[in-house]
Amino acid sequence: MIGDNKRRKDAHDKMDGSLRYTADVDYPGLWHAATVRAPLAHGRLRGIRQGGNIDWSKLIFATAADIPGTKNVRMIAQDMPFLADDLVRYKGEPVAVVAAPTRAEAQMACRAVEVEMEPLEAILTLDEIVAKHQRGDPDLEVLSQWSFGHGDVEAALESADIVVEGAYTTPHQEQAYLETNAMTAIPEDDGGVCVEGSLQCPYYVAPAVAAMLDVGLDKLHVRALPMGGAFGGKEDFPSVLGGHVALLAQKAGRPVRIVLDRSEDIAYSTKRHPAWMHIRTGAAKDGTLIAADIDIVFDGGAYATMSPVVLSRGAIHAPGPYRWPVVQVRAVAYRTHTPPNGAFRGFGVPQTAYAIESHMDRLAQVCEVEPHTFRLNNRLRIGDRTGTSQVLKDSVASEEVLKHTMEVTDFARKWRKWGIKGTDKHDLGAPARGVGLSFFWHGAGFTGAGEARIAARVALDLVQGGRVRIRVSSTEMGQGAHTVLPQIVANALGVPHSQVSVDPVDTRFVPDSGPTVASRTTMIVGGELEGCALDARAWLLQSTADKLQRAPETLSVVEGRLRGGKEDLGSFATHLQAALGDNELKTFERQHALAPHLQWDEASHTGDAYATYTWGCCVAEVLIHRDTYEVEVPRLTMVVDVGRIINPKLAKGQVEGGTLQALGYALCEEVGVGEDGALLRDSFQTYILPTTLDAPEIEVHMLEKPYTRGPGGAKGLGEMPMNGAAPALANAVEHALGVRVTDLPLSPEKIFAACSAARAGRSS
Amino acid sequence: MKTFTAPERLDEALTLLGEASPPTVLAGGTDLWPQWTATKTKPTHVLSLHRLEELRGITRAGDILRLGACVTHSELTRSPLVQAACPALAAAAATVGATQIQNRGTLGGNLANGSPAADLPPPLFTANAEVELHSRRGARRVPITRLYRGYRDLERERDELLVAVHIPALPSGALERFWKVGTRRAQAISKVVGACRLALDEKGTISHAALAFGSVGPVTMALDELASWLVGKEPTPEVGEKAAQLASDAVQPMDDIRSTADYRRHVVGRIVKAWIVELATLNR
Repeated sequence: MIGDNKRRKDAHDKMDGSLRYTADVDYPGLWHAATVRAPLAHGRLRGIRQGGNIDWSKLIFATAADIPGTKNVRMIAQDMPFLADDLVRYKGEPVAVVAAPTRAEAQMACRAVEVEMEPLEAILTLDEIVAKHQRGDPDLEVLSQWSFGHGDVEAALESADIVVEGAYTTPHQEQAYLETNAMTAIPEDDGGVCVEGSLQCPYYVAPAVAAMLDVGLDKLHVRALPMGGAFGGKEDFPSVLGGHVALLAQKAGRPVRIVLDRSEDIAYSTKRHPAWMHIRTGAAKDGTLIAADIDIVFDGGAYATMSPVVLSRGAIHAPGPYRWPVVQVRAVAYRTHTPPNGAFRGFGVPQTAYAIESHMDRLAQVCEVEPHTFRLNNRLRIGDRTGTSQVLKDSVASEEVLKHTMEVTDFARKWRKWGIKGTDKHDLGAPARGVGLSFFWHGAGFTGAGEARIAARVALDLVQGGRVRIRVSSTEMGQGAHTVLPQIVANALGVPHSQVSVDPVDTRFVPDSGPTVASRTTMIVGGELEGCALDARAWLLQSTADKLQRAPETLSVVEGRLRGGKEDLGSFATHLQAALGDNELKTFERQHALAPHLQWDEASHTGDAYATYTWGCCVAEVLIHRDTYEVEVPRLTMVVDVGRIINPKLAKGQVEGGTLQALGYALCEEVGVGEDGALLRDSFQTYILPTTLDAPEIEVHMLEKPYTRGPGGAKGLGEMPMNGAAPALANAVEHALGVRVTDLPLSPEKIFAACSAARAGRSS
Repeated sequence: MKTFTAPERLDEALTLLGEASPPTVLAGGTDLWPQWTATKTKPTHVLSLHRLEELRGITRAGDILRLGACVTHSELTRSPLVQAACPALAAAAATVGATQIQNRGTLGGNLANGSPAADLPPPLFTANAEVELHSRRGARRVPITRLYRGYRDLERERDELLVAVHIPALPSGALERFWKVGTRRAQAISKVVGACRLALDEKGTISHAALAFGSVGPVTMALDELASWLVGKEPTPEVGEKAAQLASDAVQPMDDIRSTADYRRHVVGRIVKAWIVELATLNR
């Protein structure tokens, strides 16, 4: 069962189109909402006038003044208002919401609202905050900062034979889920409100909206509907939209829905944080690492929201999977007057992995060690200490991953043959050919004491008739959680996969298993469910053993039948009926606790940052047109260790999808900020995602280094595929042409500019 | 949209276009529909061309190919007549949007929309095509090189309808090429788009040259001075390099959401060089 390619439980309804997404669900009397947005990036609200040729008495209109409870959205930081009241901090920030019988009417009414603002000076771009950061400008507003490490970095760098310094920058990235953000609020007969929609984390939305309405959680429940992708983009943002529709629905006394159109969704929902990373490293002549000093600046956008945790994860992974005798990391997120940046697959790591892996290639070059050997020599091993002083104890697959990669990709031979300095003869008519390597890791589950704080709860119901129902708050967003979790349960219980299902995710009925984020669902939630299933199995076997007067350890459940050795004792359902008696069902519950050996100090960022890590290696092959600098990627190879694989086909799909998303990040995706603070590329015409023709052949190899506390040995998977491709591609471009682009995306324009600068440098 | 008219006869369409406030002309809709969505507006009166037979069909008479304005990109791509008479046009049409767009989008729409990044004008420029404009006042032909007066400003009166395009067929032995650098490998708008028609005489010197580029100025640009300079020269690598320089200097690109002026200048030059190098191989 574990290790089987079970078909996805949502496959049929997705294929025949019968699955209903948020915008497909009909309610009698449903009204539609639209948002009035601030016209300037920074300033004070001076007036909101309901103008135009609109009969406002026939519509519902709400501003911050109408909010009965908490005006700010409850997130990691609680600093963002549902609706701007006085201060506006980004262009397009919601200042009012309107509900009308149709979407067109609501949008028309919004356009008729005049918003008057007194402008203030705005800081808009990463470049601006980095310049100020380097000057030590006190104007900068810190949203979050962390620093940690061990050793005297200046002394260590002083003693190093070789010191290499570099700065790397990365842009915004849009999650680009197929289904745009959509939420509905439905007033209920008991005076409560149901909020449903396209959301990853029902237990984020519920308390945020309840606090806004000033009602208890008994009067507000949240339903997660099937999602057309999320990638972190529906982690924090649905709380904002949920607040808007709940406010309107309560005022209107009828269901109200908001569905963002694509340009609105790209322009105003959360993006990956743009980042600047400055790295100074020292090494001995033979290429042994001595010290790293890393300075990180994230563009947080207008509010802190998720930035503290995104920044933390990015910073912890910033030194890469390497043994640094001395390392210091300082990371800060500053406010800019652009939409708040938030969660996106990888959660801060794609930025810092791009920086350190680009940098490691440069350092290896100066040390005159081949890139793969350099990594193999300096990789983290069991017993080594990470930047947060965590001592790695088990499930470290660094060596296996690197060695397997060398084997399957023939990297060393290609690296010596290809490239500007390679032994192959260069035909100037043919494209420049290069190969690049990256090595990366990803902490599974929440950072530090996060899992202890969440204390995930799960429930498993054994129901008359033999059905097994999972109750968790983990959502199905296309990643396959509602197929994989039943596999874990079915495996532990000994019943067929078809007998196990996941209940609809509604906070009224499911316990808080934590948010569906951080590559934690299979490992943490799946782990607790496995425990429940084993409890359930033991209970059933005990009860059956009592009835049959046998020892429970002589009984087993295999493929939905009870067995006593080789003897078939009847179906699971029959014995369950006997065990349940008059009860309809029996529930098994578990709650997650951090392994007792894990220690973490948040303030100093010292200790066991993650219970375990996954390990990966990416090899990118590129062909670069010598006239146009267009980069063709014939092949990307990913070798990953994510612990035991529950469903190989789904796992491979996750790795392929994340790798392609990372290729877009590396080569073509860029939002850009306009002079007025608006995000520039707000459609799929201008925001360039890779198409099928841009997609390389993606080769996936999975090694399975089991993690003892994961279900069947599984670790996290979802995010780590996002970390590898960008630095591997940057290294491949450098290998092919001898120029390094230190600013994503690696557009033909930037590669051309770098080549021109290199030529000018050579000829002067 | 209050009124939607789809006449079957050209004179009916021309009558409507002659009215004081003429309707918006709709062909494939692949430009108009996204515009309406983006601006959240719709015109009050739409004149659809989809029933007009005169605007359909691909025919060849002698050395002239006639293309109805409503010929789709898919038809351009697949037509053996187009592939023979103007292979660069067939190649250009194959790079526009996705298959669905190619099935709906039309030649006339691509020209009349007036985007400086449009992919079909460069091969029509280098083929020295003419467009046929009709109105109640009569019909006239305009060389495509004179169709664009300025940024999205066409040599077309409000009452005129683009009915057909006439293309002199590629002479045998001549070289015609199309090159597009887009933002990605499919469904991309051009960063640079260009076409050429080049021919050598029996001595191996260039006897005919026409080059045009889009996305490098407010309108599609014919590089006439470069073409004149090339005629009479041998396609040597040195001539190619000089031609590349002249081409880079001649275009007027800018930095925009898709690319940079420097990159576009460079790429135009390299494309011209590559064409000259290829032309030299015709000698052998």
